Amino acid sequence: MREAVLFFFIVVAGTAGELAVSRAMKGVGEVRDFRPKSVLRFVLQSFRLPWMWVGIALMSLAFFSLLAILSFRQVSFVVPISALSYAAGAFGAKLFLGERISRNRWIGIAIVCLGVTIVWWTRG
Amino acid sequence: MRRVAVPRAGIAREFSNLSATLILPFLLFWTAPQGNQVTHTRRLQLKTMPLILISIILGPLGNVFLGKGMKGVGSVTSARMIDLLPIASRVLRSEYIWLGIVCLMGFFVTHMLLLTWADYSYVQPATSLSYLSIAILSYLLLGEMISPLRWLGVAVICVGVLIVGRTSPSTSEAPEHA
Repeated sequence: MREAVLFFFIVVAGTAGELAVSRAMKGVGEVRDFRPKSVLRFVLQSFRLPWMWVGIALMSLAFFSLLAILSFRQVSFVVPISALSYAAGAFGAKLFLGERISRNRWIGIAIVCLGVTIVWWTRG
Repeated sequence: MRRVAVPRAGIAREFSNLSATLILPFLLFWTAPQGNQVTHTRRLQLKTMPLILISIILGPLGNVFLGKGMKGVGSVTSARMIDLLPIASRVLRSEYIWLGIVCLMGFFVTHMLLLTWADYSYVQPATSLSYLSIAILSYLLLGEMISPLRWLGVAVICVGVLIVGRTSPSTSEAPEHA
């Protein structure tokens, strides 16, 4: 139960954090200039966006959940399970960013979920 | 009616690509012709392949160090603030945790660097190997016993991530033909 909650945070908060950052990035616009000065300006600009902070908060929650679960579970168990974020990412991008997910991508995601299920059986 | 190039889920072809990703960097290092015979693509591959290799080792290595660090910190069994504070202070003082964070940051920078010249749809499938790499590294460095069933699960996840990565990275664009 405890680990289910932690996995939920890792997958859902991690993915939601990335979606929030992605949304903030779309507000900044495409980066075409990679000189250090422009990159720094881009970073400072992105920190002014509220979505960026929402993203950072959610990703921090995911990171601390990862640390917590690693304190009592094997790395070779935890990291493969966290691949569920591919599924969460697709659903999230579809629902909140309005992205279209191709059929092949859904097939890939279904296979990832199958693999995660197999790894879950080995939790012992 | 012209079809947009949709990569079919040809598992065999995926695996041949996969092995090429693993073997090519070495082949290129040994066989790359010197001087002006080196084509532009080859030069790009020469820096892309090693960086892909670094990223699929550095990321999992970071997680392995985090795991090692957290095993030393002790099991987090309570969510109460009063129990979490001493754990947090031990986490901050653990050298393995910091090593892990440095590895993950290095991974992140490598990934960003790669994406400045290589296509996302080229880089992303290669990262599916990081799930294999995490299993191998936690077996070698942490001595984790990995059952055949878990190897199977990890392999299935790799195939799934590979297929996800072979689909077009831009999904918000409307196709030319419905």
